[in-house]
Amino acid sequence: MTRSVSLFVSCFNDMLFPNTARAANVVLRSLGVKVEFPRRQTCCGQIHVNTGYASMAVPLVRNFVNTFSGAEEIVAISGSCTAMVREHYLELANRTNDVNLISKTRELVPRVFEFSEYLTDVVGVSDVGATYPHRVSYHPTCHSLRSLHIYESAIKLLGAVRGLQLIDLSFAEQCCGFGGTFSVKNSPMSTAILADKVANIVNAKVETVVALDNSCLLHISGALKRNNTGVSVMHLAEVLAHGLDGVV
Amino acid sequence: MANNHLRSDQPSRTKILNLVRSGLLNKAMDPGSSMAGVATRGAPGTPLWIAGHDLETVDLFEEVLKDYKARVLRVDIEGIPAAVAEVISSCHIKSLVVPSGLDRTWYEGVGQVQLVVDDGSGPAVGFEKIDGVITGCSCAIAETGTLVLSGRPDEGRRAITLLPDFHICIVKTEAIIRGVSELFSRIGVSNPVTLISGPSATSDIELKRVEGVHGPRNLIVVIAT
Amino acid sequence: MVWMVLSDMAGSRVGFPYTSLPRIEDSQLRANLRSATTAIREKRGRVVAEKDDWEELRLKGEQIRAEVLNNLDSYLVKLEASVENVGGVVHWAGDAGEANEIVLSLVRQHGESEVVKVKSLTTDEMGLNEYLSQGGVMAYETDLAELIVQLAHDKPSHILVPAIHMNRSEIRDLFQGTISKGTALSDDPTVLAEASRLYLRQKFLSAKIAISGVNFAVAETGTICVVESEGNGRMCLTLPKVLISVMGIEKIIPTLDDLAVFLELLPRSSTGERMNPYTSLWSGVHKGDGPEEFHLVIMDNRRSAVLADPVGRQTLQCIRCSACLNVCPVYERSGGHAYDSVYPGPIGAILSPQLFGTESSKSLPWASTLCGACYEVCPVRINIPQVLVHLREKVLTEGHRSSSERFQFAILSAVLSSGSRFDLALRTISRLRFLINRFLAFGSLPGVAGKWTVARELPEIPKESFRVWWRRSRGQ
Ligand code: SF4
Repeated sequence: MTRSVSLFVSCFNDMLFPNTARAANVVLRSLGVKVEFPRRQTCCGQIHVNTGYASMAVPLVRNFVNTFSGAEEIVAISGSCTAMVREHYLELANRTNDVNLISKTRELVPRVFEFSEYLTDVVGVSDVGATYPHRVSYHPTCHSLRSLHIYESAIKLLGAVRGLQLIDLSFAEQCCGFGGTFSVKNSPMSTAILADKVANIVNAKVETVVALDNSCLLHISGALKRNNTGVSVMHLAEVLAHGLDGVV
Repeated sequence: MANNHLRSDQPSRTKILNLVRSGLLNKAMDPGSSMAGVATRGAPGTPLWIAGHDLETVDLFEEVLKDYKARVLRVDIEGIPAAVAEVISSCHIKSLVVPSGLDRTWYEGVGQVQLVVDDGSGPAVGFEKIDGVITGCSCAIAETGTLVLSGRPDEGRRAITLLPDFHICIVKTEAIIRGVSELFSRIGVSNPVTLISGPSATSDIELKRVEGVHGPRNLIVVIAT
Repeated sequence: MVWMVLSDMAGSRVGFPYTSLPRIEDSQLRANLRSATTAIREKRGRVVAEKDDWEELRLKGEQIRAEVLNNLDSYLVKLEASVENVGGVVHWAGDAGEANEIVLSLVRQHGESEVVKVKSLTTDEMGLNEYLSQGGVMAYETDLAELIVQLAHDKPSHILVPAIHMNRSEIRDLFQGTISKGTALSDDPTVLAEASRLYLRQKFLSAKIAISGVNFAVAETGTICVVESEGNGRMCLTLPKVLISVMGIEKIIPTLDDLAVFLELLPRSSTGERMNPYTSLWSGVHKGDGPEEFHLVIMDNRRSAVLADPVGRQTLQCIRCSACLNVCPVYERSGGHAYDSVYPGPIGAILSPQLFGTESSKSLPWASTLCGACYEVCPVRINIPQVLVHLREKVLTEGHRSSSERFQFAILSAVLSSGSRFDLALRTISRLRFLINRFLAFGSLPGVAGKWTVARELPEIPKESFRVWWRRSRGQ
């Protein structure tokens, strides 16, 4: 039986990082997974909840649930969006007192997976056949590490990539300082935390930093570029799509 | 004293209890899944869980005590007086206080030392001029290297183990338990209880550990089988 | 991403973004904090790793504390009865002012003008020392770090290591000018600790009244527990004739066996030791050993209001171990003073706004990246990120954020709640992308984007959004 997934790309990736979504599509298809992209999808609502406007996220939850409730499995390419769904959706749906929405949400949440976790835990692969001959460090983003408990699956997937040299990042588990609107509301603090992350990346002497969230990577790469470090950032999906057919 | 503070004189008591009761009408949020808030195994920065110590309880106790920079001597029951005498002379202890319930044979042979046998009746002030104290120990915890004093006759009152600079504590092996969870099946709290884990210490200045601030700066434990 | 186009909403002169700024720029402070927090983190990691039942212990800790809070009224009454049964006197204080009055009047009843104190956050919260001094009573702090802070007329900056912001030579200079007048000291911590020992010993031997906080109060037996390292606590709890202990209403533990759980959780989480050097337990007054009079002051000071909040209630589970401070990336770079509260760090960011509700404390729920490191180490499993997010919403609902921000988020919500409106928005952005990219490349930007680009580059908007590509290529 062929698996079929609906891709949730996040508003952020849709607009700014279409290549990540395309790479995830390539990787999944190369594994024989049928990929759908429901067009009504928008945003998970994380920015509203995290800034303190949770009630305004409720219509977004409704839209997400209505868009995806017919899907078998949903794969998200952002760790923090996946965490948003798992940690907040039921509580937000409960606020509506709409029994239909609540029950649909309850059924939907366990079918939403983060991309790397879907590959290792659901499909059961660790080697997708990719090649990426570079020095790479993995930055476990806070939501993927502490909300989703994803670490080993990402390391396994990277470890199987041909030519890839995985270098330990010191204090890897520490936050990069992004935090959504925190990055502007407490901008000097955010960049102070970021400066240490960047220093650790530079010390690791890698070519690429890989993570499961383009929002954190945008923040990190913003400083890597500003400081002319020459280090690039990449979502895990893009690394895994390297060397596969149909790569963009 | 208590008569000055009849409960009915305290309107705040009623007020607080009423506020608490009305607050409790709101049910607490469900704490959610037990997976959240747990460290991700194998990830950097999270503890690498090590298997429990396979050391025998008494050996573990000794190890942990030494980690606290306590001096540890292991003897037979009959060897206690000799061990005590050795400590007294090597630490140059010139004056000693002992609780009145302590086995006299343990300290009778210590030679030229000024000795105070305390039965808890006099004032505590004065013990600060005494060099050392010897006590027994109702219970000791191996995993944490803890001596538990619970006011028994061989342990005395709290002041005697606080003011002198040397504390010599005699622990019989049958008093040693493995972990903290067994503690209150061994001791009661009708007397004051003091848990002592290593000598007094502070890390308040640049987190540098300094042994000895106000309590005894030297802890010597004699483990007797 | 869309929030990049939002206009600026900060700029206030109070609150964390403002108070943290000079600290972020203070490189000496940052170096002190970094080495201190890194060292405690490593110690904690080592002793936690020894306990293979650590997660079960945390679960037990959480359950015991939640059980107490969910039945707090009956536990309070039970504790009162047990304490009175063993010869203690219980006083109830609705707020800090009342608690201060009770303590001062007790001191006055005994005709004393000096007291010795064991480090206690609760009495710091009350401002007890200032209150006593206005009433003509001098309170001597006896914990080394608290003594340093008191002598320097400074404020504590860490729950456990209050003088974490000062280095050894600063402390040496302070001591030479105060307690060791006339004697030259080196900056060796051993020498400095010895100076405090000499100074305080006389105080301990002469003091008639001691004031302490309470780590745990056991309802079953009326037993009070104080944990410490230096022995100053034992001095205060043992030598003076009168002991006054002050606790918040939430500090109760049902039984002695429950207490044992916390004697494992607290030291490993707090100082990263298997056990702290001294733990004292007493039950009322004990003839021939210790104080002849024992008073327990139980203070609410808005804790009952925290209790009433279904999400906020868990905040009261806290056992003040400070593990959350040591792992917090924000605390590590701001220090405690930036929180402008007795309670700094992640616990302060959730406790202060609920207890004090001041304008500056209302900015604290946003002083976090929500990274969750605090939750992971909290020995009683307080879901700090959850409470932070809850308080953000609560503060905004009570109307303390600019309505222009609310308006922008409302528009954002309207756009994002429909696939077709989002489609249209993305197409518009694509059409304007040359303009936007030029604008971004140009440098000085207004509002949020301007704050972003102080230290970071912005990406360019790509030619084609994913959805447009998908429609064009059908995913092939
Ligand atoms: S919130 Fe948790 S980690 Fe922080 S001080 Fe309280 S008990 Fe410790």
